[in-house]
Amino acid sequence: MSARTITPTPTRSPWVELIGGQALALGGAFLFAALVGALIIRAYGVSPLEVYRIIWVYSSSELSDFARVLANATPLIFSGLAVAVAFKAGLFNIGVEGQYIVAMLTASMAALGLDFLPSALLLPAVVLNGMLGGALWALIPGLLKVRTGAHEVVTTIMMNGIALSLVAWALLDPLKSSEQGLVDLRTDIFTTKALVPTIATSLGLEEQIPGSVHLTWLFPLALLSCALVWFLLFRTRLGYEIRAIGSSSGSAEAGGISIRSLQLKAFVISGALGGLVGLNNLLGDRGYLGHNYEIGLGFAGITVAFLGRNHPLGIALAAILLGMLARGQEGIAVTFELPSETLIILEGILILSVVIAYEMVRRGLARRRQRAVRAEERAISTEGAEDAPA
Amino acid sequence: MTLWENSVLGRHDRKEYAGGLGALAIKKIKALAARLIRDFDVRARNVSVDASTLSGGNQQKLILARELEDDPVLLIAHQPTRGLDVGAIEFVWTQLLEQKGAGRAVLLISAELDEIYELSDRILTLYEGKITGEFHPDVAPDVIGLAMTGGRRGDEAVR
Repeated sequence: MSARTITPTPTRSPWVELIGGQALALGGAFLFAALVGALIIRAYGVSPLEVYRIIWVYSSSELSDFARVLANATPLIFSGLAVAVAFKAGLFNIGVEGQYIVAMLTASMAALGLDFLPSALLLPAVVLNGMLGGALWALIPGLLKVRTGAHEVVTTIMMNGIALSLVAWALLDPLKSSEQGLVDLRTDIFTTKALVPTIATSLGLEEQIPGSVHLTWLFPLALLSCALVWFLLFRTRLGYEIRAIGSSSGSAEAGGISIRSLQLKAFVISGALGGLVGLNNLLGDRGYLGHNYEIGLGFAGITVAFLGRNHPLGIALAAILLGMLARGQEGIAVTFELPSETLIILEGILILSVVIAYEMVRRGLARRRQRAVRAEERAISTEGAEDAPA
Repeated sequence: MTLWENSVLGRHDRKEYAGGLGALAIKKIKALAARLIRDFDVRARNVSVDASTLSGGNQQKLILARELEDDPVLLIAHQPTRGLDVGAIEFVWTQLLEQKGAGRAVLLISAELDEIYELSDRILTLYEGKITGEFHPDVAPDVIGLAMTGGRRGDEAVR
């Protein structure tokens, strides 16, 4: 399928090849997705170029639009990271959904129960409690995995269902607001000390970015988390061991790495990151836990991790891209008579084409490298002139 | 995983390869990897390429280099030449014999009878998890074959 006329050039640095390959895969995937998407949009009698233009305009024309995109991206970065950390250890954490829902509950408990603390202590306590809740919810399938061998895909999905019911129960009974005449099921409203301020209010940008945009300091925290996860995975011993069991559990075990203990650690880290997913909604937007909290962010994290190739930088970019699409969807809804599912379809096509394009580029690169290595080997072994390969 | 990441597996938890904050001392590990691939003639562009891009022979050389780095008393080689080309097999065999010459115990586990005959001083056969015989390498292959498949000495006569 791909052109095979390129001759191996051993002098080219692997970095150039890597970045070139990335650009080629991403560019090709976007182009392909845009073309297929255009056919579908065309079928509805709408101009595809106009649709793409509206997505761009709605997500980038004003500072507030871009802020909305980043606000959309904030939870997606956390959930993408959560999925990726587990995936690097060879684990499929499909339970980020349940982990962040439980985390919203534990964070709410801290926000309501520790409201006597000053803000500087309360907010970190609330965030940490959220991470703890997520980690705890991930620890259960982790323990089931290492103790009984129960597959994490099954157990984490089941834990999602339990999480939903747990929060529903908590809202009906122990945490239910004591306010009279309340129609909505929700907790008491948190003290403002427990809320994460928006970047706009902190920087005095209320003029440009209205209060309806919930871009909070959790976004910089999400970027910081990307950096920390990168450091963890690619620079620390723990990350090395996580990647070792993910890429070859047999060699890792032979190298003295305890697979079970590492799987458990990966689950806990993944769950703790997952615990941050719902906090922008909880502490940056509503200020209470209600029955109509935002769902689906954990599953979206699987998409983000996939698109971002499980790399923290890729995850940040993928989350921002999905944030743009979500913002664009609002524009499309008011501009065209297109079904609201159009962008979901576009997203699906994009994911598929990214996966396929990367696989094609990866195989192409591997073939080229192998050829280069073989050529080098042959060159050296004919110099040594004893065993020419058949 | 890259060459340098592979070269430290099993030794990655040592103090000498630890930096601060739980990090690995990557410079030291890369230096180790560079030395290993030079000493064992692993053909690779540099230590940062993925080990999976090497040929099977070069991968095996890297593993040998890694495992011999610590002067082990006992070397267990499990199917060390499976899937390798002739030149690489020769290299692995030479290395194993050199290890023996250096006074190390080498336990070779192999499904290749030729390889076992070529390298061994003693041959043990296993059948259903039990050692069924111990032979000198000048024994005839059919005697070994019989012991491998659960037969006993003397059974030949029955056939």
